Amino acid sequence: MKDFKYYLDKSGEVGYVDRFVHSVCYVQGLPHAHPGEVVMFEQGGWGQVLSLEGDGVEVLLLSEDKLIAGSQVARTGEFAKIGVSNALLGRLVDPLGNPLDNLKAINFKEERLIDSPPPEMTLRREVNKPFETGVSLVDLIVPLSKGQRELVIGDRKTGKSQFLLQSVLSQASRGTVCVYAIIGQRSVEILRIGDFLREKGIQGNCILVATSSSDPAGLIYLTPYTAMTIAEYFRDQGMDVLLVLDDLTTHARYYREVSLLARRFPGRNSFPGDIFYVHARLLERAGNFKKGSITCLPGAESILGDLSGYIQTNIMAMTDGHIFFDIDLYNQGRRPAVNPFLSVTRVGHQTQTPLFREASQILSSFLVEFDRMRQFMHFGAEVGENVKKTLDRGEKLMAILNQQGFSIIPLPVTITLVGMLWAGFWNDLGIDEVKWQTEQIVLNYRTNENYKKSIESLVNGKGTFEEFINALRYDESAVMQGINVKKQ
Amino acid sequence: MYSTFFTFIQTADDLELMQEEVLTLLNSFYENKQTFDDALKSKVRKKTADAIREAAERGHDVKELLESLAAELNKLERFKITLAIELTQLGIDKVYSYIVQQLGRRIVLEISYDPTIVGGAVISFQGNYRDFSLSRFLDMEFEKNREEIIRTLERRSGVSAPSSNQKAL
Repeated sequence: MKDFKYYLDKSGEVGYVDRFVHSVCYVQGLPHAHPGEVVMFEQGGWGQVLSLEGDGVEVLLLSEDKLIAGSQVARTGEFAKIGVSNALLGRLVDPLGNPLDNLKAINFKEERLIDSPPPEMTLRREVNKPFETGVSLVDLIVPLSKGQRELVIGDRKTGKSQFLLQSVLSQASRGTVCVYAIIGQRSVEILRIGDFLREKGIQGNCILVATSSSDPAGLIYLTPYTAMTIAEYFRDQGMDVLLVLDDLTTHARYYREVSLLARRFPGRNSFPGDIFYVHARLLERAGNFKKGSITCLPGAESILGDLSGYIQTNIMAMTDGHIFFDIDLYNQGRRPAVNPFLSVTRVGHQTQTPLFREASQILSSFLVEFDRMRQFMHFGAEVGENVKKTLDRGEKLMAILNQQGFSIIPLPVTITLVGMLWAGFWNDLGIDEVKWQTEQIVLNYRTNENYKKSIESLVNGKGTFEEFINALRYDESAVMQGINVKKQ
Repeated sequence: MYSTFFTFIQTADDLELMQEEVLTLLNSFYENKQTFDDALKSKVRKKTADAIREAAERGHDVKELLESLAAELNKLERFKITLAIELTQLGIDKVYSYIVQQLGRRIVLEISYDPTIVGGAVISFQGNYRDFSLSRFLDMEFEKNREEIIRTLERRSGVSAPSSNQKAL
């Protein structure tokens, strides 16, 4: 790390702090500074040039050091950079790459620009591999692909972060590098996520880039960019990376704060005019590439289930779909509270095998029918046998798709459970029994290698859902052997 | 019109004093003529008072003159210079006249004292920074010829040079 005097001598230019307003500081001098350049303060703090004005510059503060009017500022001649290396795996860092976990210093292999332009078209390729979240409802009805950008949206406390952590758990446990950006959240939340990764034993495949709400707005603003830069480093090694941005509405709020302090002209909801550009430029850096992929799951918070907010619709326009967490479903006890009718995946289906694609279509139309019939039942009408069957199947399907806590269900198990329901294995059983058998099958799949193989052989190579159901009926014992003991 | 006043200003301290005087006189206008005259007699330096009286005799509007002088004083650019020694008034005069001659414009010297620079000067003006201090020169010399300097010093003091292994330790 170079010191202040080094930069002063190197650039031959000096500035003096004139005044500062929260996280924005006005500096007189630095005649040749350019926008985006990092500057260093005499006290050791850092800042980034926001704009040039008259005989000075406007600087966004990136550190908490107490500034004094009149103190010196030096140009570094460099744009914001972060050190990257494989040693970042398992670490908790701030957006400038400083460790926050009280462990040893990180040896960086190279330095990369935090804000770099998105890769060009020729470096990209179509998404071609499915991405498993471990959440049955999403994997079946709103499937994702590697390299997809999927917005995770919903009101506060509807299970968004839980879903994001389930996805991280599912992917990290199969070796995917996961970068989790915690943007301006409470410190306790950062600790909670860190503890989760440690408890699940996936810390070694994960990197946390975190800023708490008490950090300077400039530093919070950089959080997703740093996370993306780290993701790009691993992508360039040919790896598939999962990048979680939790969340972009908070990021937009901090950017608004900075912009208003810097006296930028406010637009809709007082957000600056370039907020779309800021997010689009960030999300365009994700995708499927000739070498590796970055699957990006940005989070966004809605208010009272309103999907038409400014930032929310902006991000919807930049992503390849969204998963909507419905507060009403959450209050009804659905976990995850994903609303399958309002969720969209634009590219996920194209990477599904024909079996999963057909199952997805069947389930989607069944859920529509089930929902319509449930609404019909509200009138207290007498129903026929077929309707009763549909309602019974729907309730059992909901029981299968209901995932409490941070449990993850592998995709072959999910399709097998749905197949068993469709094949009529559970026609005469109550919901509790179905739930119990479901748990048994998931547990056996995880613990019994032979059982896992027999399930996979049932799923693999089946072209249609009908074919799969017939195979299940033909070889019932292959799946039923997973249910060892009858529930007492 | 203001040249007389500017001859009183060389350093940032002079500038502040002058600004204070101008402000005091301007404030006295809000009361009555007598107050201004009193202020001119008792609250400003004699040379400042004389310069104002002289301007008034030449027909200048005193209030207007003070207002525009205050504005001109704010425009004066500061030339920051750090020295290893504290300058006498003669020294300040010499440094000031040299700089004004070189730049060809009026400036205000902001002099600071830092013995750690050993000698020479560190200057900054209009955002440009140059370190012409002896300490920097010595640092650069030491960086460039570190080994040779150590060897010379050791020869003189009679201590043998450490081996490469010792250096690593």
